[in-house]
Amino acid sequence: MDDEARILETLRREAERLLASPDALMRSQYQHLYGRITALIAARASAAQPDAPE
Amino acid sequence: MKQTEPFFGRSAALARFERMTRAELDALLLAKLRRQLERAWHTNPFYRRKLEAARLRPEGLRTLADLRRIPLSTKDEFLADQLAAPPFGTRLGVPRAEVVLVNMTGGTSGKGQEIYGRTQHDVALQGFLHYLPWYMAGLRPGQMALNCVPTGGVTTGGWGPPEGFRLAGATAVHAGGAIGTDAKVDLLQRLGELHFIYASTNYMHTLTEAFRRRGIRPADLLPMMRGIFLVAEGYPAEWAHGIEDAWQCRVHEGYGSTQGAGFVCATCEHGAVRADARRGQMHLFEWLNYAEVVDPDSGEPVAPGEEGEIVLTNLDIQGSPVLRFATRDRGRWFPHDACDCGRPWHCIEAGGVGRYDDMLKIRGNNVWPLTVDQVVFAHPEVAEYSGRVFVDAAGRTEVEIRLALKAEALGMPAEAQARLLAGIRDGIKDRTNVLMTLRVVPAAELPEYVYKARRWSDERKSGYAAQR
Repeated sequence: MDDEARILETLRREAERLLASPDALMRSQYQHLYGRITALIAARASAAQPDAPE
Repeated sequence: MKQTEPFFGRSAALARFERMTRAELDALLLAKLRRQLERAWHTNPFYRRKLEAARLRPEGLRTLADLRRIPLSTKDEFLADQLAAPPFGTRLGVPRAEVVLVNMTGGTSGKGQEIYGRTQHDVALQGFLHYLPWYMAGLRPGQMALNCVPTGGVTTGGWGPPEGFRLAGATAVHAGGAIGTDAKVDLLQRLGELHFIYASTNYMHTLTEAFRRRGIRPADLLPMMRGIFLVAEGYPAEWAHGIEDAWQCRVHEGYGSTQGAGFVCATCEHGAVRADARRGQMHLFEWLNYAEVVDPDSGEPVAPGEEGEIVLTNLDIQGSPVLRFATRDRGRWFPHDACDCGRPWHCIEAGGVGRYDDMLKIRGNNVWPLTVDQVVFAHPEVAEYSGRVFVDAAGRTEVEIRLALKAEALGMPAEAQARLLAGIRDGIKDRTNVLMTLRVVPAAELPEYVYKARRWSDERKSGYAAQR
């Protein structure tokens, strides 16, 4: 796992902890944050993959 | 009727601002104003010039009253600056590459559209400035929300709501402008679930009337409704009570603008009208946008209960910020303790925000009499006209234009007169997006003007039929 991927994974784990916030105002925003990070991880993973054989 | 869930202190993020004393909030506002002036001084040539002209350095801001040393900013100044240094003017304040979204003002003023560059930070804040008032109106994650305001496009009002609903974690249905009113009723029957509606005042009326025509009581079909959030137009308290009765939930309201990057204030759990028909208060989100309400002639702050012009200063927006922007919006100011909810945020009375200029908000469109003047008087056959905005028996907002023709045009063949009226009607529709009804009347029916013409009357405030 390279540095960027490691940072993203750390952020994902930390953001996941925020999802348990008792603060109703912030919880949905943390879900948004978590969604952004998982989307970035997915985007990065697909960009890093070599072209699939035809 | 279901009440909006009280939320005072429920959110740690918001409780900080709810539990402050007014003195603590003022101290925070002063610190944030200094920071924003500091930012403008170093990054924003437009405001640097204004600050220098006012001989005010950021560190010179010692009290909130010192802010009034900065002259008001106006739409005309922004437009002139953007014309001289297109497209963003000298007011952008962030590196050009950090702009991720362009927002523009409505543009029907006939003066031109201001351009706003939003950064990632600003887009997130713009979303929050829509989410926050809806949270206050009771919207919670997972709830079904109907957005009746058209989305997308170039305006803040088109982009903020989808972002706001997403931040809310709500299940958003963006039907505004996408499907007609009857199709919305069909859709709601199909969904069978709805908790929240965001709509202009006029559209809320139209939607409720559509239910009535079908013989459906909204509260019977959608008993889980939690809140209705109105925007854009004033209304009589009796009308809001009628809407609350039909939907069996609280009516809320927010006031916002492109310059505020979203909502500037909104009602709390007490809603837009009280049971005794007193109007509710919209609480200003002062820590995000500092708002003054000033006498437009003297520039001095108005006294409690008085009307004045709303003047906005962004405290967190980075791209194309505004400092002391004169909105030309008219609001009645009240100190924070006018509402018994206990928040230290000053207020603007719900239901009564209007314009200082003569703009008419008709079916969600900004219509300036000047625009109509230009179309009507482009036809030399016309002597005078008079416009009337009213609510018809079916509850629709209608516009009637009475035209007086010049004596020499009175004898024109019926066919030619029909062509003339069609040309005017189509021209008005093109320029304002509003279809108006035209009628030729004898010139004596119309008043004569010796100074400024007052051709328009707006009878909507007294005209909404009370809901049963």
